[in-house]
Formats: sequence, C-alpha cells, structure tokens
Amino acid sequence: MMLLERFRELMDAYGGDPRRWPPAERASAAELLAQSPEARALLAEAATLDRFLDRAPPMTPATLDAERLITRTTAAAQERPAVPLAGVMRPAGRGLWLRAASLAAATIIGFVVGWTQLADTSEATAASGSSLDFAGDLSW
Amino acid sequence: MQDESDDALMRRAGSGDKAAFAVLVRRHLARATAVAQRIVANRSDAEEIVQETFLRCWQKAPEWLPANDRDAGDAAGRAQIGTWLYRVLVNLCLDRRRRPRPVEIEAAAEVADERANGFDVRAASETSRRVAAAMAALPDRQRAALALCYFEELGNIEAAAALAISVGALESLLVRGRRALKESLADLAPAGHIG
Repeated sequence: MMLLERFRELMDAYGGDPRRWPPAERASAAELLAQSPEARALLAEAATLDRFLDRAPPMTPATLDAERLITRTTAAAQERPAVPLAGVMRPAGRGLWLRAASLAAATIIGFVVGWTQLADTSEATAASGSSLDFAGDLSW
Repeated sequence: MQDESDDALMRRAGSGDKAAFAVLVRRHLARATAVAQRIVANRSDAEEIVQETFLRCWQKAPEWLPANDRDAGDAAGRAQIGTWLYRVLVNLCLDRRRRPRPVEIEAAAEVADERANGFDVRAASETSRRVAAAMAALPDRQRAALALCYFEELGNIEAAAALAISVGALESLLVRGRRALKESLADLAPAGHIG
C-alpha cells in the first residue's frame, strides 16, 4: 500500500483525478484512499484546485486547416539520411581493379579525342595550306 | 491505414508516403495545437509552431528509427512518435517564449484581441479569466508541464520525455505550478482557502 507521503506528492503534482495519476500507482493509491481519512482529506483539497483549473477558458478553435497543412508540408523535400561510409569496406583487390579500369578507360578516351582533333586539324591545314607542329598539338 | 500505429505510419512517411503522413497529422493536430496554445498563450504563434513541428516531422521521417523493437505493439509505437512530436513542439514553444517581445506592442495586442491569446475569453467568466491570467503568469516550464499533464492528460512518462526531463523533475514542475496557482486564486475560494 502506498505511503501517505507519496500520496501527498501525487495530489500536489497531479491533482485529485485518478486519470492523471501515474498508471503504475493508481491501484496502491486507491487502496490507501479506502483506508485513510488523511488521504481522503488530501484528495479533497487537491480536487478544490482542480475545479478552478477546470474553469480555465476553452482554447479558441484552431484555424489551421489540416488538409492545407498536409499539402504544404508534404510539398517540402525530405531529408535523406547520408549513406554511411564508415564500416562499409569493399575488398581491396576489387577496388584496385576498378581504379585501374577507370584509368585505362580515360586513357583510351583521351587518345581517341586527341586523334580525332589531330585528324580535323590536318584536314583544315591541308585545306588552308598552313603547316602545324603536330608534336606540339599532341597533348595526351 | 487509419488503424495503423504511429510508428508504422512514420515509417511509411519516411518512404515518402504522403497519405500515411496525412493520417499522422489528422491524428495529432488538435492536441498539438491545444498544447502549443496553452504554452505560448498566443494563437497565431501556436499555429506557426504546430506547422513547423509537422514540417520537421515530415522532413525527418526518412531518419525515423523507433527506439524500441519494430515488432512492438501499437501502444509502444504511438508513445514513441508522440513523444518525439511533443518534444519538438515544446522546444519550439519554449524558444518562442524566450524571444524578446516589445512590452508596449505585446500589451497593445493583448488589449486589442484577447482571443489571440488562445483562450476564448468572450465565453469566460471572471473566474475563468483569473485562471487564464494565473496560468499566463507561471514560468514557462511550469505552464508547459501543466499543459501537458493536466489539461491535455498526457501520461507522466510521455510528458517528462517531451520536456526532456525525468519524471521526478516533471513532478517538481507540477507541484510548483499548482502551488503558484493555488496562491494566485486563493481569494476566489469561499473561505479564502483553496485546496
């Protein structure tokens, strides 16, 4: 059974309505109430203040329109969590292969672009009659 | 979907499910608005705060991970997102209250439109106005504790989590708040004594 001192604390904090008491303590508080005139006096005292608080003016009706709120809110972008890199380890061999393949691809592309530009330049030079230092234009 | 737990709805919302998020909003909007109104005592501020709260809820939904087991029942799921929602709401309310407001503007606004405070004082008796005034005079965190526990009847664990304090600290706020109200309203009791 609850001690009277704890019952007093409940009344002082939560008031006299059992619906507001911590659920885990309601049964033991009710048990004390049934047996203790002091507890009943404490409850009556707390209930007096509750009656005044219950006369607080009602809130003005909210003007927020739920549907408009939903529409506006869900139009915003959501924050996607960052993909965690720590702890996500790829096998080293596979990683090296990928990097080598990328470098090779870049080299091939560079060669093709350079060769194409060289061909275009040669044709233009031939057409215009001027000469070029091909070695200087080969930047790859 | 209407019967799904808050946790389940939040997980769906995290995948961009607007319909799931809409259910969450409709489920919590009225109470969130009431809590905000009681804390900031200003209806337009309260509504701005509620909108900001739900916006953050939507934006953060992809990161939502419940602290408890994903297979936990509806009650646990509801407590989790509700706690998070009210923590954001209460923090925004307390931050708003900390903003310096020009006294002359605030006083003029209050005289001009009492309804802006959030209370429908046109329908209130003198006693009701005194109670509203006594609540408004409380320190913000005491008023927030009473708003959550007394007026909106959140459980003590959920209310404490919303305020990011222990249940013991919550009870301390409630005790001090009720004591201050008792002193403020003492003259209204028939024998000059209020419980």
